[in-house]
Amino acid sequence: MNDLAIEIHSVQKSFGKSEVLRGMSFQVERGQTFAFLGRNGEGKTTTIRMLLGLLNRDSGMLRVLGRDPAVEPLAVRAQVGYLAEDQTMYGWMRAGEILRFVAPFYPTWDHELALKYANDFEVPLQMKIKHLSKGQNVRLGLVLALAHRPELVILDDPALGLDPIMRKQFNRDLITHLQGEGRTVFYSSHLLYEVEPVADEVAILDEGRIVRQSGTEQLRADVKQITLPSDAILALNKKVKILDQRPDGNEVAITVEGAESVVEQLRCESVEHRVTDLNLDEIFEAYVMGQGAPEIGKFAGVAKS
Amino acid sequence: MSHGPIDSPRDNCYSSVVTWCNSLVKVMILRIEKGSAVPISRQIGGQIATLCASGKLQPGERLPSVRELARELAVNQNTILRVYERLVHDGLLEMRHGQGTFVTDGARANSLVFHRQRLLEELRQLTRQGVALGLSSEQLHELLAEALDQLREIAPNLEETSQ
Amino acid sequence: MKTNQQAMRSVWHSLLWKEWHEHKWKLVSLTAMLLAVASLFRNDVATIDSSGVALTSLLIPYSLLAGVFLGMSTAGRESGRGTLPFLQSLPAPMWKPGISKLGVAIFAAVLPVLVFVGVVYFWRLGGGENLETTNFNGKSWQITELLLAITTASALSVSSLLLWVATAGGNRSDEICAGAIGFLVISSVWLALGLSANQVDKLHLETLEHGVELLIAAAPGGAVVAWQNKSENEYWYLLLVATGVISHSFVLAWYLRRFGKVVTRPNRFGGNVSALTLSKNQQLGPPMRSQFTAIAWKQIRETGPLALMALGGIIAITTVAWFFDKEGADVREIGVLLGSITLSVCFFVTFVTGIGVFFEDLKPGVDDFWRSKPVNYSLWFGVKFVVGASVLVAAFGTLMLLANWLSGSVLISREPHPLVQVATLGLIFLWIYTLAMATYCLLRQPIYAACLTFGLLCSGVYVISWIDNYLLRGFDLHWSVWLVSMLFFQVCATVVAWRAVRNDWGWKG
Repeated sequence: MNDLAIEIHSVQKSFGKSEVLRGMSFQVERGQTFAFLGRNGEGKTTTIRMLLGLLNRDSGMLRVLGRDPAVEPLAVRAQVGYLAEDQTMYGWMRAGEILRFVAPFYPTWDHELALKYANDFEVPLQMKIKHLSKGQNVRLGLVLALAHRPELVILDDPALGLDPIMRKQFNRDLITHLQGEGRTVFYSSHLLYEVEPVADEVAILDEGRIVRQSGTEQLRADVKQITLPSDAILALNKKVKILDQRPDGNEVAITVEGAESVVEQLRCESVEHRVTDLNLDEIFEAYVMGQGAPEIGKFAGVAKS
Repeated sequence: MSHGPIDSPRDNCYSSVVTWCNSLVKVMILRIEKGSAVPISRQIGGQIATLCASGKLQPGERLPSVRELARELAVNQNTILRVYERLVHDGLLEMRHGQGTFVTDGARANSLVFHRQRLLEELRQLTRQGVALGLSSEQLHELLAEALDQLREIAPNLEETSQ
Repeated sequence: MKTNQQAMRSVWHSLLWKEWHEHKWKLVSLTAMLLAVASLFRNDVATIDSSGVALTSLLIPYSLLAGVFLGMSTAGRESGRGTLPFLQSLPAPMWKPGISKLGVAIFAAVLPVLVFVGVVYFWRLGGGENLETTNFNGKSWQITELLLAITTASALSVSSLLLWVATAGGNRSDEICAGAIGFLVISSVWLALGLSANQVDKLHLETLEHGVELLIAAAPGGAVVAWQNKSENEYWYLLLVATGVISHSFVLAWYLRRFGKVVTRPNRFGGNVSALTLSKNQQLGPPMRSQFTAIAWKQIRETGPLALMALGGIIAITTVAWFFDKEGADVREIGVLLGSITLSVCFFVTFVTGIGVFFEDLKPGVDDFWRSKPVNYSLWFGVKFVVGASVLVAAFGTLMLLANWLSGSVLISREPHPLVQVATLGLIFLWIYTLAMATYCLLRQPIYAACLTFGLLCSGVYVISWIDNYLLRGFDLHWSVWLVSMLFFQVCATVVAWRAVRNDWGWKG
């Protein structure tokens, strides 16, 4: 059996004239907790809807649990637990009723598990959905996404609408109920500092492509800010990938990939430098907003590879 | 203890957690700062090492399991596992098969080695700032002595406890 | 799973349970409306000579109303309230929810007819007239036979209309939009058929006439013609039935193929891109000067498209008629045709527009949005009411003037004064518009609002004619009585709608 839960290879998607995804590729291994990051409107939800077969791609290859969702959408949906962003459910149903309503759609539905999750997540089963708070609504959606013991759980920005206490509870649930049971979790989030403690792996989507996919810890070890004299930048190997650079007097602060080798290199050439650790927000910003390609003539020797 | 840059606007995303180590009913307080420039694994590792160094974790005491700690801190189990493995590698902890993770006898000494490197790095950063501000070597030493004096005032037996 | 026997139902059970819950009150209100109207006209319904006419004149509007409103909720309700993405994400093919929705809707449309006819039959039994015969539609009928035939015909036509509306209005963004498109499609089909029948009549070709009859059987609600032809020729009757079945199977297949197959484009997508396209349009013009213009602009944007669509439809159909009528070249005839088409479309569009004026505004999220702004609710209501009505008056008034001019003023009779006639006609439509608006504001569900509006319209007409015929008998004030009472009802309805909007009265579920 394939050990990839999700496999996407140069997928393209346009809506009318605007191209949302331009050859996006990434892979999610089974058992991983995978965070999918990108600015709003960069196509996260589009990608997620494609994974469920709710949207079709224009070109490229896409497999979810070894199946093509465009060809077998029902088989994929039956094996995947999905929580949509801002999921609207039938307001007139009671929380307990929607559990019973959804149950027969999933062959592997475990109603006792559903009731247990509802209890764990403090979802009031007697209440009508339209009277639930936003947080209760999300948690009810989560119960619906988990109760059939899916191999893969896809959550579209579940933190949206949860307060800090609930987010912590949610992260805890995610860790205990999903990571603890070896499930694959693929989720998108706009709260990067919430992602870091939880995710094994992150992928950053920018301008319709994945600009970086990496283990969370590796990413933080790999991308760092180095402050060095402006002229020393020319001494750097041309292969060094500079994500962002900010002149600071006669020094320049550069954000680089492969920090370890860069530091090694600087040490060899005995260039005075300082290394600053970056948090995930700053790393994300460097990838998404960074001025990597030097436009100033002074830095002409360094190219974004 | 490691702290990230103070300029983070999200002061509310700490999570202080009290964990009772089941066997010895020992309180272990770990505090995670989300969004910090210091990676979570290093925050946790550093704090456990500090607890060992200060004697709050005594040799032979059992730590919470990876699962328990992950749940308490709401942190990925793999991260916790890596922290424990790293601390085992550094000689602070040992994993006894089937029993759990325990503080080693040499934990305190080893934790100093663990901390020495980190403290040196932090002092180096501070010194660099000082030099950039035009402080001389004497002035820098003075500052360090003053900081130490201030701490002694607050906690007179500071040095005794850490001996 | 063995552990949860009680919870495990089949997908069908689940879907039917859901649809039943969503339709049960619609069923109740349709039945109540039908019975209420029937009891108003109990004398006509239960009297042997008028019963056929009375029954059909009640059941034809019922079929249209129930067919269109249940059809539009079948087509547009899921997307209108935003639950379609959830339904789509369930691992079941979309035709399953599609067919259960349609099935339960048809059930909810047909059952009131059965109950209604059952009650009428009971009234009749009470009078002991059940073995008598009556003349209807040029034939002699036994009562039970007549009731059975009328029931079958109404059940078939309401189901057929519902199916057509649900199919034509499929995948629209909300119910009102689905209903408008569904109605437009149905009326276009019928007008096209009517025109071709007219043409064929002139040619005196029997085969063509039969062809048109077949087409009618295939058309929305066309099943009615089938039972009329039943006695004539067995084979011909079978052929008609077969045509109807085949055409409706095609429509059904199309409905099932399309149901829920709408690509919901993720919102918020392309933040940068849309900012660019925005700046190209004039969207970034200066802010509006007053609240009045702002609300009026919004209302024109909301009502305008519907009115324009109706206008376009009417003109297109009349143009086609004119094209075919060339040899006759009688402009007057076209004027009359235009007038009658406009009136019938106007009735429906006014109805839908009335419901639609506050449709968007009273959706839960939107309601909070505009109420949280420093707006004067009375101004909000007043401007919307007046602008909505003006758009309708402008659109249909122009057409009626044109029709009257073309027809050489035959549309207006000599007695009473033309102004009185225009005012009465205008008031009728204004009344429908206001009633629909008021009931929607109070009930906040299109289908219930439609039922209540229809019931109130019928009772209003009943009350006015009662005043005219009994209370003021011998005074010969017919037109003034009608005008004054309608004005009175109009004011009542407006006040109710205004208070409902201002005080946020209404059933919020």
